[in-house]
Amino acid sequence: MYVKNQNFAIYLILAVVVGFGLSFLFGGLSVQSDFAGGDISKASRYSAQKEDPALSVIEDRLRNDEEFFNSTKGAMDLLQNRMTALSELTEKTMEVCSGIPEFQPMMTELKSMNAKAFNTSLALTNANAGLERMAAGKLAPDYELYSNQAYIGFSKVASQMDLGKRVYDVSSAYLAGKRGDQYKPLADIAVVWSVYCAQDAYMNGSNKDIEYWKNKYSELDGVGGSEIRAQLEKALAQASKAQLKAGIQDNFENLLQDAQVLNKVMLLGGGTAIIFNGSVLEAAFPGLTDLGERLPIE
Amino acid sequence: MRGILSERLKVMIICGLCAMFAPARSFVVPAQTVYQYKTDDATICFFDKNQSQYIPHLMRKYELGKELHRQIWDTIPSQSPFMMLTDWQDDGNAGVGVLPHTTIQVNLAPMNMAYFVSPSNERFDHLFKHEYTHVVMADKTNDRDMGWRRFTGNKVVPNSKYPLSALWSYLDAPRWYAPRWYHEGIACFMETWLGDGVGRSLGGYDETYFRTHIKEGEELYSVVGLETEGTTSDFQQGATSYLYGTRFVNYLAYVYGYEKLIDFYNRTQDSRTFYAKQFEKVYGKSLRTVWKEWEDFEKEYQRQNLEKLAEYPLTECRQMVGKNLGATSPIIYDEEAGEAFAAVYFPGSPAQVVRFPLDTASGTLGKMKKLAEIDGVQAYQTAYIAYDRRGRRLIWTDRNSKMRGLVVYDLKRGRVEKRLKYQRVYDICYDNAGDCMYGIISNQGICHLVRYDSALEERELIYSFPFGVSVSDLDVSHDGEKIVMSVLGKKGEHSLIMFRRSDIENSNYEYQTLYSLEDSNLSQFRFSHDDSRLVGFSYYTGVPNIWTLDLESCKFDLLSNVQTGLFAPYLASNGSVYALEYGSDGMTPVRFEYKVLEDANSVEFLGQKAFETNPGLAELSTLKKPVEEIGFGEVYDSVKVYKPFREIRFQGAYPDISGFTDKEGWNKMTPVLGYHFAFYDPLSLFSVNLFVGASPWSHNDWKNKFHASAEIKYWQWTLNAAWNPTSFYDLFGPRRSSRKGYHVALGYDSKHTMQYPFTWDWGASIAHYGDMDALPLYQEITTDVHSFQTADVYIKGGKVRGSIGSVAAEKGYRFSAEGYTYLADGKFFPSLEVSGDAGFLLPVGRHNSFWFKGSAGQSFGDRGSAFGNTYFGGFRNNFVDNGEVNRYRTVNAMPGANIDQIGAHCYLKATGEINFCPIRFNNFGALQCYPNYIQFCLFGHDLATDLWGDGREFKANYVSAGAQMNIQMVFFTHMKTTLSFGYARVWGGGLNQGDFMFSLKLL
Repeated sequence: MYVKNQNFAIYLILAVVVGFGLSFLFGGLSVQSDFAGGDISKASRYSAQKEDPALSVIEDRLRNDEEFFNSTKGAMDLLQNRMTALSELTEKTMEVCSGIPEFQPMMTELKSMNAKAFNTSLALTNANAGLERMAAGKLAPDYELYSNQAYIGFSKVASQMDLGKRVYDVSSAYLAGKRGDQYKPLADIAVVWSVYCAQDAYMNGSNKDIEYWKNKYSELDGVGGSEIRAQLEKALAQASKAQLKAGIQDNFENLLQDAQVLNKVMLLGGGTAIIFNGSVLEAAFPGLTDLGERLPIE
Repeated sequence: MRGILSERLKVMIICGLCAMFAPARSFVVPAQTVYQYKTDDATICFFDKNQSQYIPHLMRKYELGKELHRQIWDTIPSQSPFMMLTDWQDDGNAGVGVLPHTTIQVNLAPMNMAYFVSPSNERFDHLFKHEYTHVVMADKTNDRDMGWRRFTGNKVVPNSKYPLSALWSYLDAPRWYAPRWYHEGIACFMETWLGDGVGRSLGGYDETYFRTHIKEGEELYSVVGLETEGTTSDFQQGATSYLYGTRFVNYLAYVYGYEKLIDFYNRTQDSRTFYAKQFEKVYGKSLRTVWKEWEDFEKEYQRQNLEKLAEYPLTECRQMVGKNLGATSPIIYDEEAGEAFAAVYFPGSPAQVVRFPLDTASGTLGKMKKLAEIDGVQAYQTAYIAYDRRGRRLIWTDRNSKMRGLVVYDLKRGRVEKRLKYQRVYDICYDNAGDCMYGIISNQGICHLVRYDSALEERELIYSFPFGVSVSDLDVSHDGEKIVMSVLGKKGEHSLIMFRRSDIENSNYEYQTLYSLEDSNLSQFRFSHDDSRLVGFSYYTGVPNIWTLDLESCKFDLLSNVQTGLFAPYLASNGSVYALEYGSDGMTPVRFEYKVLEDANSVEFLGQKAFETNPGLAELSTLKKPVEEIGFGEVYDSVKVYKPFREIRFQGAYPDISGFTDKEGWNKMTPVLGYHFAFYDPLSLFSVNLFVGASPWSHNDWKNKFHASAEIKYWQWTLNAAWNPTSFYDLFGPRRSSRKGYHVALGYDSKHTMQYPFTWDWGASIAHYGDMDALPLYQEITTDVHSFQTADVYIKGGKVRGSIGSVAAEKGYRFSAEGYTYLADGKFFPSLEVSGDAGFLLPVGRHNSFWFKGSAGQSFGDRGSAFGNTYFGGFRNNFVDNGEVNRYRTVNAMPGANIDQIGAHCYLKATGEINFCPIRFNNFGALQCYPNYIQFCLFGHDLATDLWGDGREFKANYVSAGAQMNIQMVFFTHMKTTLSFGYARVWGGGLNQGDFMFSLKLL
């Protein structure tokens, strides 16, 4: 039995060896089992997979255009401060107003705005870190990605800032005739919202809105006086009037003129830029837009 | 009326003309500023200063492509090219022209990833390696070419008005006139090997095309048949040039080696002028012989691949519908409603959005029903569609080859309810849970993820991808929470990424990368009915097979093993996978059982085999000397406004022969010998074309023996001036456009093509004629008034289209209206003409169409004067011609009658015609000259003259009927020539006569 088994093993080994040898004659199955699951064969294809050394176009410009770098950096700082301040403001608002029934309908919105401001602030932190790496002569491959995210996040927050007006109005109505320490935090929150919104109006160049918020500010200024106000104003001070002014006149304006941002801002406005682009094209280039079609090789 | 118009009418006409030209000043100074950045190596022109940020990157990639080619071809063309950076369409693209100046047009948009036909890395890197190959192939010279270029001053642009220009053009740039497969084949080969193995030479789609053809027993196109039939009637249209060219070049490299391939393509001192002769010189065999060798090789090669695939059990696919859909979008299935929708385009029918009944139990589709036609299709996918289940709306993209728009179709009412122009959105997907639509916008070269509200009025920007990243194949989960898409990275790597809606709402834009492949694709992945997995296709095994990705475990499994290819899958609730099966005529919906496969073989890529026999290909992408990098600051400071007046250059001159009217000469004409001079700016915004000639041997007066003409164009303006203008085609007659005398004319023509296939033009012109012997429009109508002025204003437009394989428009409509007036002998002779055409495909066979044309005209001047009538007669083709072939369609044609034989003060005309299916030739003729197709037309006219007004006594009715046959011939690939024969007979108004027509249309 043992001998028989030994013979069987020898025959088996021989069969495998012969079979293996024959497989070369018949081509065999060229299986590459470097894939998940079974023995699925991957098509063999030359690939050098070299790293593309090209920098993103925005990064290239930032490295080579000092004025552009400085204005972008200034604007990024400004936006980051604004988003950090808003994040804190919304958080405090939720904290102070959570027990007041009048504020319940806007809690979800406040929560959402808080998350938006926080995430945008994070994106801005990352973008700013990229700018700093560039300033130090290092590569910053993620800068464009994070700055894109930051611009979109900021624009989204900016487009929903009517929330500030609603928070103020509800606070004002709620505080009517009420005075006392327990109402001070809410009064402070409302005042800080008025400051934030006034700054927004300043950034948007809306004198009418500035005037509106100035009046609102004076309505409740002096009613509060809690620690919250000092805390929030410290955050807002980062985006002070002077900085805002500089931001509007230099940084923010330049930032908006940058093509990347311009595209996005206009896209947010319902695609005006794109529609403009398309409709003027014919008028500007009759006969030229089909140049590609006239060139027979592609 | 009676010849002299009332003073009031005169004043009105003059006021009208003033009003017409009053805005001229604003037209003279174009609103658009054109910018340029110039170096010794190239000039880049662009139309938005914001795009200057792309210039350093563009220049680096251009320099890289150029230097890599210099290493290969030893010398490269010395002329510094002119590049145009544009954002005029939504899919990335580029094109090269070398006549008269080397021009490279680069469109900024990301490449179209439909069916992943063309593997690509970062788009500019890819494009310049491809496009610069064209520059070298078409523009590299030897001493002989340079000699001709010196003689003509540059490279002559062929102009059908001066057909001898084609001869000079061929001598100047002979390789430009090689067929498209020749150019695209080597360009795809180079894009691949200069791109580190990313390109069509190693493309899965190319392999699939040939494997499928052989499996189905289809004959491969011959080297001539490819041009006559393959590039026009195949569902992939012009893309077959890429497929066959790349394949044949791969075969040459594999069998005969890379060095010989370079010898064949390189324009060296000892190379032959005609590409096929050069082929014979290098390979020692004719091109046809080696092409046939390749066909035989391909059959055997693919047979082996097919056998190898069959070593593992093949997936059993069952047809869901017994119809091939041609080029089609992924089908959208609504299992609840039992319906499916797709955008399809197959030979013989216009592109359309269709609906199928879906039997979910059996997994079959019922009879296809057309919902609407699609304006402006794209290759392979036809259009992008989205389905609003609750609102019962279908949304698709139109103008897919330009800036895309959206069309909203109400399924309840069965009609289009809304059209939105210039949306620039693609890969649309309706989120039925959130009642909104997602899509990807391409603008300024950047992909943006956007979301439309349900009314499609507002759109919100959600995410912007960095420049250089291309995004495609977007899908939204059934609960609206997850959004997936494929992302093509800078190195050609492919990833499946996923956003979560809840994150996006909170401005958290971090996405999850679900799966990545470094050297293959992940395309058309869609959520299963329960959102637990994604199902899509990949060329991982070399065959487009269906794969699934489990969203929980991220396990990636193979679901199919087929010999042809499967695309656009959908995992249905009945456990079947619905997909599109690739066939040589297009896609067919099929279904197969969902089952994870453990084993399958891959195929061998011919490009890989070419690499294995030529390992040196790996070195082609290595730059021996680094290219000097250009920084942004340097570019930004050097951007200047492009001024066509300053950029205009002498672009060539050549001798020419043409004809001039001579009543006593043979055929009523005399030959004129002369010289052409051309001046253009590189963008052709400003051009000057001059001709001077003499005919001292003519019987004309001495003043009619000298000839000169000038045509000056600036943007939309054209100034024409001529003294005894000549025409090459007058040498042959019977029509003559040359006239004794002189004229000066100023015209403005505005063309509008952005809403293609709907196009419209308008224009106006004024002219002064002096010393004339006949009317400018009517050669047989002489007048005693030799000096007069004319003014003309027109508008015309239409939307016509042809299906795949057509040779002319097969359906649609056209309209035109034109007002024309003479001012002769102090009198105005205005006339008005309006016309409209409508055509449709006949429900018999393919490409048989019927067209109806109606026209009406009224002259307001004195009917007794030559100026006061419109004249009809003849086919209006010349024996040798350069105009429209089927000239019997023109308003003034009346085949059977003599030219200008019938005069009318007012008229009504109706024309009906049937155009029959063209018969295409395959593998007939020589490489230098081959017939393309033959087509037959039947037509009839009814012309009623002087039906109203004070000339009713001249009322007459003419009927004409006839037939015409056209045979298109192609010389040197680009020069299309049509031989036409016709016969027609006319009855009525005292006429009963016939007329034969023979015409050879050049260029």
